[in-house]
Amino acid sequence: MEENIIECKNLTHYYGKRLIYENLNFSVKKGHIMGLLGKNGCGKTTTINILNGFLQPRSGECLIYGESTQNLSPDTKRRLGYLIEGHIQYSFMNIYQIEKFYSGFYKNWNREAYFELMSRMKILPSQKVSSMSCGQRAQVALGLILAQDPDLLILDDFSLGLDPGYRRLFVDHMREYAKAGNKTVFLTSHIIQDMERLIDDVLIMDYNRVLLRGSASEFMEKFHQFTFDLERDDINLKDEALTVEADRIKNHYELYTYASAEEVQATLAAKGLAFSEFKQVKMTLEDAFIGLTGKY
Amino acid sequence: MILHLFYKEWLKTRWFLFFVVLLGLAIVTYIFLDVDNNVRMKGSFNYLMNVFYGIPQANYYHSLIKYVPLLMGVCVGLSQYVPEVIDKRIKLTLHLPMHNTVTLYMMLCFGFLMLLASYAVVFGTFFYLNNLYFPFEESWAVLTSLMPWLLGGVAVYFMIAMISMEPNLFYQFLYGIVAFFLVKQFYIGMEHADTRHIIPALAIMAFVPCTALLYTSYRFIKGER
Amino acid sequence: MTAKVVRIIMVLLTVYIGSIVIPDFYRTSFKRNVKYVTLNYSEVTKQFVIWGLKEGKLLDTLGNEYTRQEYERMVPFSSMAQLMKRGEFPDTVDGVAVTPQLVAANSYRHIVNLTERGRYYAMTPLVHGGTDRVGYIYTNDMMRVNRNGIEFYNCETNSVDTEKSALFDKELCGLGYCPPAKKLYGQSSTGRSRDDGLFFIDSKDQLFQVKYRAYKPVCRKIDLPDGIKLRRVECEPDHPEVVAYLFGDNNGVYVLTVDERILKLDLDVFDYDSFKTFDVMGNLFYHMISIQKDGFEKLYIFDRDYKLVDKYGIHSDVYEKSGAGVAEGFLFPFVTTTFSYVNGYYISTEGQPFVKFIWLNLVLAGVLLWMKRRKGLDVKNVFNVIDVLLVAAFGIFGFVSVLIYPIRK
Repeated sequence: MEENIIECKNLTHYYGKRLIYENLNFSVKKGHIMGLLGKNGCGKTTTINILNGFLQPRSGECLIYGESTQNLSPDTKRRLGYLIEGHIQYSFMNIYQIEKFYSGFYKNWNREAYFELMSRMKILPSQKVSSMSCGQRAQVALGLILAQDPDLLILDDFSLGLDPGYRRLFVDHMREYAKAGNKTVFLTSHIIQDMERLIDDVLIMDYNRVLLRGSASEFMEKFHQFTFDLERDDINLKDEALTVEADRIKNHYELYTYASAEEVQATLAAKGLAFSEFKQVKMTLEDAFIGLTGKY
Repeated sequence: MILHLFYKEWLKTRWFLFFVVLLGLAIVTYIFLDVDNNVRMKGSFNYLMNVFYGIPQANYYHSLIKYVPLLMGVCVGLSQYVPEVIDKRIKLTLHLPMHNTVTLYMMLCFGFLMLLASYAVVFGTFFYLNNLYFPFEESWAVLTSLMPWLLGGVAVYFMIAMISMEPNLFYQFLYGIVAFFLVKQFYIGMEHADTRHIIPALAIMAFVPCTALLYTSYRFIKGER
Repeated sequence: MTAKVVRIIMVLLTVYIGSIVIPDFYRTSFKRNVKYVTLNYSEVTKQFVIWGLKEGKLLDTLGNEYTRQEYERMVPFSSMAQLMKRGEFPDTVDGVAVTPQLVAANSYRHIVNLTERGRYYAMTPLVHGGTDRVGYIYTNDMMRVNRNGIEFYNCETNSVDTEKSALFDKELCGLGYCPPAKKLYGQSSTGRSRDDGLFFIDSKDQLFQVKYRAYKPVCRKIDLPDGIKLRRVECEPDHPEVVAYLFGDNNGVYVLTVDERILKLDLDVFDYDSFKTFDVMGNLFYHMISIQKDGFEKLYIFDRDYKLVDKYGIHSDVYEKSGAGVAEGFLFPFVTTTFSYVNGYYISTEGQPFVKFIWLNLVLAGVLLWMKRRKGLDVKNVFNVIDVLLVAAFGIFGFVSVLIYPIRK
């Protein structure tokens, strides 16, 4: 059986009286890349904060390498790479200073990995973090994580503020790094594009609840989008048992479901609805995410 | 590891320290230019009579240094903690592979040592020059009146550290009020004041806030908002 | 756990700061003038005259009322200028012929602030008399007393004049002087008609007087009466007969006269630690010594030979007895005051009677308990119990402090 690197049990948290989630359970296995996806405000950063020991949940607990995240030992912290939302780093330092600072804390510090990335990005050692663009900052943060060589990476909304090129660069580097070293990654994002290139497992959250927990590829295999036209434009498909999400523009219907094309067609026929232009649409992860969570 | 942590603190504070020490030295220089001028104009004996027995307000040649320790405490504190508070960078620091308490107290220790070092440079120069112009008794009188002011700088530094770690803006404001009235008590004395009997009380008031970091950092780590 | 203990420490510190700040705000807002009474003594009627007991009126101890003009005629020496302006200055007082010049020559006043405990850095000039110059001259050095004995510090060269120091040391040691001196008193000055030099108390509590005359030290040991140790020497260089007032550790006050006598003043209620002012006024007939503390003044009348003639004590209203002052006792369990003046800086805490403040404390403790319950905090938790106890003990200060530092659920 694969070892669970992260294990969260019965997490419940409130901000004041506002419930964020109740009895949330999930685990991340060694060597897996798990993406926590959800809309803004559904509790992604809350989960990251709990994992990093910057928030005590109202109840439940999270374990990393078997240690409670409320009390991580220095050794466990050393195995853990952490990217703060917005690629925050010490802006008063320059490229050279920041490397010098971090190098003292990690036994396996890989200086070359960091400076190689910096030179590839044409970032000068004397350049200050505060004078960098968001994309450059992301590369500095990535370079530092690569140099640290952690066993577990926790990345909070790494895609924030990155243009598509930088995002792709980040994703590709991360995937290559994680897979080559059998590293475990837990990340959150509210931008789903490019995510299927990266993640193995997915945890999709909506306000107060978990919509999906499992393998990303399995999900993409089982989850479908169908479009068809009906004669009438006043049919409500949302209440059907097989519907996960449905939408309609005039008499053109979109249906997101775990059911097969035959099952959908049978359901329509059973209701006496004549359909035409019935098609299965090929989805990206982003499409599937919207299909699962709705557009708003 | 601790040296690397100190390296980070040094990068944050070095320019502020440099400027505040420079300002302190400039004030000391001005004070002794004035003393030298007075000695030349009035003669040593007459000037010393003025300093010891003149109308007090006219003779406190060292009044200008009263708030220098406070300024030093504020500068070291703000330069050290403001960059950590902006964008909650303190999370990066607390993520370093050390115990949180050790990390926080090493930062505090660095700031305190820097404060002491700045005191040593500025007030060391002051007393060196003071001994050139005045007898020991005058230096002693200045030292006793200076002690509360030096402690005031320490108190303000610890209070800034404590307030910075507090996650809630409203409570930061309340602690700010407490800090104001606490620090005020160190600066009510005049320039020739025998403070020996109250130094223990003031020292307690200055050093007790160094523990407060444990309270606000605990609130931060537990995710209070 | 540690954080919660630290929180309690910070609450206690805030209680202490609160006990300085909150009463200060309270007094700034509510303190009003209280009826303040002062005393004088009439050389004419031989009665004490009381200012301030009745609005716009002066009374004597027999209850007679006087106008301001009548009062001024009763105290011709202290109202001399006013009487002269009105042309009412008498030719004789109590049968003695007086002139303004005679009155002026015999009037003096010396106010000793007993809360000021003198300089703590002892260094003072010693003037030189009996040289070929008229009067006294400064010698460009200052004297200090330390373990080595006496040192004359030359200001120009920034060094000790060892020769002159040794001269004085030798002279004093011959008299039994035992260094180091504990205190150095007096301000030897060229601006006065008489120079009494300096006084100091040595390590064996003996009193010495040192003067510098004709290039030689003039020293004497002053034998103290009643086996006392001195707490203070207050020099009186302007008075023709008095050299200094000596305050003993037996709460006795002695007058050291120019003819080297030491006379004990009969000040029956004097206590060096509780009285704040020692006010000496003199005129042609009497020495009048007023000792004052908050809400009380006692005036002693001595004849020219320091024999007690009369005395009278009177109480004034004090802030503590005013409405705001009484209310303060119910509001604050204790009050801390900080104050500073030349050479001094004090912090002192004074408690109030327990029976007064405990009621408000208990009410506030109850309010805190109710607030904690409402917030859903476990009121049986030891730290919440400590909070309530802190409020019960420190009242309003505890209540404010506990609320400033929130406790986690």
